[in-house]
Amino acid sequence: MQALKERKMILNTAILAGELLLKNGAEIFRVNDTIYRILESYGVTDGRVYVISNGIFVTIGENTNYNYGAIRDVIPVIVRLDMIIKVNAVSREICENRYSPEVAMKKLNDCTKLEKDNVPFMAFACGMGSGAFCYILGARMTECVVAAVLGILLQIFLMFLSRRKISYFFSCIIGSALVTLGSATAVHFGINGSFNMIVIGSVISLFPGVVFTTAVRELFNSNYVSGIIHLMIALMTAVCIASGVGAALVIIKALGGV
Amino acid sequence: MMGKTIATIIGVWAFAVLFYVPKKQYIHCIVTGTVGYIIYLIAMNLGASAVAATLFASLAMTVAARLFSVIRMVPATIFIVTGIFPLVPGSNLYYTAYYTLNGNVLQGVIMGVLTFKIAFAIALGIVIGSAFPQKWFNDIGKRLRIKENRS
Repeated sequence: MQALKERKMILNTAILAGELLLKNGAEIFRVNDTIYRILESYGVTDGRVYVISNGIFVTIGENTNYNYGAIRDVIPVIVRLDMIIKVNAVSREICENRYSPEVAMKKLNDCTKLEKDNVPFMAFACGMGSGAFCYILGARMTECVVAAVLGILLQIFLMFLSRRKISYFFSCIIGSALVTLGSATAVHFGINGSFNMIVIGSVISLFPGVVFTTAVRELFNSNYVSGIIHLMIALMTAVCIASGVGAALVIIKALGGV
Repeated sequence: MMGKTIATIIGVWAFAVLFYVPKKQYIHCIVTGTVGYIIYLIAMNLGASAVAATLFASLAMTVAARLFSVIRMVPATIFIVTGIFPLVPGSNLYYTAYYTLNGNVLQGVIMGVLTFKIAFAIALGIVIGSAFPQKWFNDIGKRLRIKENRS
């Protein structure tokens, strides 16, 4: 029997790795697999892991006198693929038995220290994405340019709100409403293009495409609860965008149309 | 077609930035997305429906992503999440809401079902692509990595 303190440390390390992965948008099977592998690499073979989209439950030492459990509730906020890569690399190193639990814990904590967001760069990228998506749908060049500008403004606005800890859904509503108004203004002042096309391009960064895809994948992997959670997030986002756009359309109609 | 491919390259890059992909992986994200989109265009030209074309595209994209994942030693999700950019049914989703809010509910429902079918096709493609045994990819990856080391 390992020292009890070490067993606790192993449990905490494993669940921390899982938490970091889940919080940053990893799939359920990856989280599950990582926790099991870390436990096993430290010789803990009696672990039980249960993961859903917003929670992790791990117990070790069932049927012994030294039964430990740990629970984390996780709210998946934003997809940060760099975190997934980092934690994945650390967990691979742990499985090669390179670290003691204490060192592994420290390595995982190091992963959470992130650089500050490069706001202008990300806004620029978002604008380029909006323009490109417009173009793929067959829009004219003028429409793409307007969508790109609105996309840049939207991203800056969203990052501003997220720093103030405003709820994501609320910023979705406001953001899509503002973009719709902006697009109507552009068309009103004589930009040659279709109003709808510009809106579609500008709000592409809000669309729940990835979340929806994840939802269906989880359902196929028989993770029904997680699939439904993701499905609800996707649905909520879509409804929020629709209501933002809808509210703006009502205002535009009241002002006399595009 | 050329212009749309360039737009895809820019778009996938933009998604990679927004999802915080490390700079080292940009090229492989872009290749994954472009492979998917080119398959989509070819399938459309051969007369496939949008749903079927999306399915083939996401299947091809997933295979590419898994191949890159064993070569680059990072999870395949990185490439899949960014690569679906050109396939996302953004306009269909928008028109679903647009028609429904404008009182044209029937048109809205038709669009909504189409949106759902395309999104489902993307996911199904990824699921099928994920079902191939990992061993195949590991073998190919090993061979390719050895080649890279030699040159």
